[in-house]
Amino acid sequence: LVGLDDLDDGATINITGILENKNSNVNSNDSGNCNNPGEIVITTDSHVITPAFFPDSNIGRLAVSGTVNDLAVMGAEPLALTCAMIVPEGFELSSFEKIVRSMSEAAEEVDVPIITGDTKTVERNGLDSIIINTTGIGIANEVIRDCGLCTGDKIILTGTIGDHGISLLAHREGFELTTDLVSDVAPLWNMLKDVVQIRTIEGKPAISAMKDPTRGGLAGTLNEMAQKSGTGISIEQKDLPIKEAVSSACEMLGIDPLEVANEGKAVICVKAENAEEVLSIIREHEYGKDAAIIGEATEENLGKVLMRTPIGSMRYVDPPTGDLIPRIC
Amino acid sequence: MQTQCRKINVSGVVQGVGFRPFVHHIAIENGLCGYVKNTGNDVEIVSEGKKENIERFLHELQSKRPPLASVDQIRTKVSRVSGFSNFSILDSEQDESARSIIPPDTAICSDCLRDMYDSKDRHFHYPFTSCTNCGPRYSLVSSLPFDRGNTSMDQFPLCTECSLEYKFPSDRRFHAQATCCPECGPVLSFTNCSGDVLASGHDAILRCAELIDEGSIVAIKGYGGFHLVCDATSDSAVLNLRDSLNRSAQPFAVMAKDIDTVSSFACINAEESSLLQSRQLPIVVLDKNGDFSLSSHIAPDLHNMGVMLPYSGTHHLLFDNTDSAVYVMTSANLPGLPMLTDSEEALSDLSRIADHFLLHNYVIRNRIDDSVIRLINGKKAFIRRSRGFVPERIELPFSIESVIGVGPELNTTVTLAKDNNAYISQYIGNTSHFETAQYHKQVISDLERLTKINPYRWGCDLHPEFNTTRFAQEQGGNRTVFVQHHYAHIVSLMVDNLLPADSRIIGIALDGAGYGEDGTIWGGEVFEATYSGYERVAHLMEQSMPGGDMAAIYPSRMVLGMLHDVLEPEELRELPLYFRHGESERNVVLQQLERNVNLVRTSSFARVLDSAAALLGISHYRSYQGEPAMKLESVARDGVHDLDLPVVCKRGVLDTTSLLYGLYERLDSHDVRDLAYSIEDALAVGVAELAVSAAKKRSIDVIGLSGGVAYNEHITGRICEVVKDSGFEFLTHNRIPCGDGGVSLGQAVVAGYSERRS
Ligand SMILES: [Fe+3]
Ligand SMILES: [Mg+2]
Ligand SMILES: [Zn+2]
Ligand SMILES: [Zn+2]
Repeated sequence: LVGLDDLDDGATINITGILENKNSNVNSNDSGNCNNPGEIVITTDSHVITPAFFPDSNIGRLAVSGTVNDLAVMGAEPLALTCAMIVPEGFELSSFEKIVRSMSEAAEEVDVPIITGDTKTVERNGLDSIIINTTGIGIANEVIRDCGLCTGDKIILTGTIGDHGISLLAHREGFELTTDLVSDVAPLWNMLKDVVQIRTIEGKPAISAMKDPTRGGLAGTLNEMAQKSGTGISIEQKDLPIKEAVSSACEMLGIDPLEVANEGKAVICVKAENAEEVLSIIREHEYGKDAAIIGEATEENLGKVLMRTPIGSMRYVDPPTGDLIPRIC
Repeated sequence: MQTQCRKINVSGVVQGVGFRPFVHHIAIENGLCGYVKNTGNDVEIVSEGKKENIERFLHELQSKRPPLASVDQIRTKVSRVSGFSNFSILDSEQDESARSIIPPDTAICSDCLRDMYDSKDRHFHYPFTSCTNCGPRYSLVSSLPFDRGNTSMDQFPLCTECSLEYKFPSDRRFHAQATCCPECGPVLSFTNCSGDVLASGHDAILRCAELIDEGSIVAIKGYGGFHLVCDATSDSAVLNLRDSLNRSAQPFAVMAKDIDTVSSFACINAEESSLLQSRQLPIVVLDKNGDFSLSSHIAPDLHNMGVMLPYSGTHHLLFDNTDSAVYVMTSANLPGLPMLTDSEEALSDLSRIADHFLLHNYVIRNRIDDSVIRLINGKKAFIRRSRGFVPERIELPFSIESVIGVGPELNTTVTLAKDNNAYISQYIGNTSHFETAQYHKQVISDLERLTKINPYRWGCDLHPEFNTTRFAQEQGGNRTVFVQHHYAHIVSLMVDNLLPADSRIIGIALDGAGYGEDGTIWGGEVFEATYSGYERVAHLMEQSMPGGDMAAIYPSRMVLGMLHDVLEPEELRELPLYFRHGESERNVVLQQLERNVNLVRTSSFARVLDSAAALLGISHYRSYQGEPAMKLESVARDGVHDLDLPVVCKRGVLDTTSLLYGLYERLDSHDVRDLAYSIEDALAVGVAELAVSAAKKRSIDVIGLSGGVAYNEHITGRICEVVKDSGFEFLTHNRIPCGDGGVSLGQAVVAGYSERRS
């Protein structure tokens, strides 16, 4: 168990050792990669969530998964995490311990140490819940960005959408949804580590872009990718993995499941020739068993996302505005 | 007496309607020399002769004119005499004016019908027979001037006989751009759903009629697009069509063989009868009569239905050869998408819906749906203004710069305007669908080309998420003018009534939803309005829509929103409502209301009607636009007793919760028809009182009504009554749809008016 109080000294990472270890594992026949020492990737994120405990999980697992996933979707193996916690005065010790235990479990799952950390307590009226900042350092052979999407690439979604946001909302507001829906929060590196190595016949990376559809949901993520990459995106509504419980809850509440946050999913854009291979690897993993190819990048409608509805027509998937504005006359 | 010369410019619907032969004819009669020719979209005449002859000629130009022509303006100037020796018709010429436009599609005329039934005429049994007085126009045209080369008929070179008629000035087919005959024109073919031709020419008609009689669904390519057609008396055929279109309840229009047939299933008064048979041959919404013999699935739970008469040669020939005197005739489209116009696309998209296809082989250049008109208290109201009317000019009461209004989202049209001329496009549809949004762009570029108006300002809705709004912003940049939805309705009403530029009215706008200036959803509004701005002086009480649009689709949600504050939790749980996800959804909605999760505030009038329909058990699901409110209207029509629901207005706000609560209290003790009647009545009276008191306070003597709710005869009639009884003038629509099909015109005029002042 990681106790944060033991971690407030500075820590070191033996980059050279890591690189040597890494290069010895790399297949020497892998042409494009021989002399590539890799790139160091660093990311930081502060996590606040109300409530701190939600179905099946808590803010601790979220804080580790969030940062691990930010690294993972850039194609980076997480090497180490740091953690800073700000806790309101009087926060229950047992809750705090649960959170720390969850962090530790999530970190162990992807084999990444939390190497330095800090805890501060602040006055209760300055804060109503715990805040956790995590910084992650990782290494990637080739960094994957969310702007690398090319026309013709297939888009894979690694699992069902909306589980996190809907279960959290139902739990927070006390909605009687009569389902056992739980958050999907999970660190995804183990699921993604093999597919980031896959190459096309020409030896180029098969994955052209990747992103985790957290805040803003799938709609926000796809729009951002289309805009940054300068392509269009078209998806098939019928191919979107979504749990019946989520879609009926969304209908009851009037929420678009495409705009709901996820914490254990990735959107993977992959060269068409490698799409099936990537999909089958993802599906072997427990977090990816519901993965599906949901669409592709298009030459038309640059910067926009279109979805074919079950009745056969197309509609724009707009970037979420945060407001619900009716339009039916 | 000395010879004089006049150069005359005529604008209006003057091309493709036999206007030049007419000019030629009266010039010769008056002994004048000179010429007539089509310029870009006007007609230019040079006439030389005696002064009094020229004057008589000018008079006849206005008083006589051919049936399809309409003259908007004649400009005359004195010119130098060049000594013409005869009067000739010259070829067309390009020009950049924007005053005239090609005529709308017109039903086959009685002369052409006679040719079509004359076994000695070469047009015998030929469905594409047309002349200068009839036939498709707008649907055929790709650009101006209206010459054969700019129409779909350019693929069909005239045969010798047609060519002679075309060139002979006194022939009915002189310069009839769409004229053709079996020798040289398009042909009909009847195919199965894989496109294999089973019959062609007149045999195609015979096979088609036979199969419709046997219960088949046939997709028929017509003037402006495809119809899906089946026997209107056959329950199984109509239900088949409903199933395959996934249209559970949306009413289908029918086409009846003749007016006598119509009177066998519908009530027709004299005005409706002349509207049905008017030269545009629109769909007219008629009340079903007592011994309604058509399938009850045509317009389920409604007291009325859309009816039209045959307007093309194909329709006439079909009814000559069929046992079924009434056909269902509904636009062929996938839900939310534009009507199909292309044979290949129809064969692929409709293959699971239609059993057979009746096709012709010319290209439909401009899609155009049938127009739909309903008489509301004796006045004509356009539900859809398309075939037969578009692209006729709408006269504006004042002159504006070149502008466009792109319309709202549902039932949208676009309007291009310049000077005192506006052109409202055909019905476009629901632009939230990508394909319809593409069509919307297409209509704009087509209409720009045909009117030669190049818009400077772009008027659009205030709703930030409409595709039309986004498109206007992309195109118009900082020349985009955002126009509040209901203000656009009211301005369209002012223009419709030709109110002059400095007018001030109290405008009532009642509909489903429009984005308001305050970020809530408006829909039951009373404005003090001028062409330069408006003030929101009264409105319906704001209600919660749990889950936004879900409350419009499932009106029971809206009922909970409206009664949440006045009923106990147990009472709310016992309301006789319907929820798609059962009681757990009711609980979720109540929790939403309790905890203020995903609620939207709205003053919509239509949502109150929907709620009443749900509370009364009349309609629980909106499968087509306006369904709950339309079904409520049908039930209310048989109501007789006014139950005096409490009409409470405080500080310009009509308390709709009290009204719905009043309904709730009377649920067990009164007849549903009286309840439906009473809530419509109370809402109408409440809104009218708000308007009257605003008008009094502001010393304004004109009150007008716009918005889709104005299609409700009872509500419109009641508002009219209260307004007139209070001594005010009452305006409704006449030339422009009161629903969202008129919004683009309001947007254009607001955009143009702001330009005019700067
Ligand atoms: Fe409207
Ligand atoms: Mg993050
Ligand atoms: Zn004719
Ligand atoms: Zn011919």
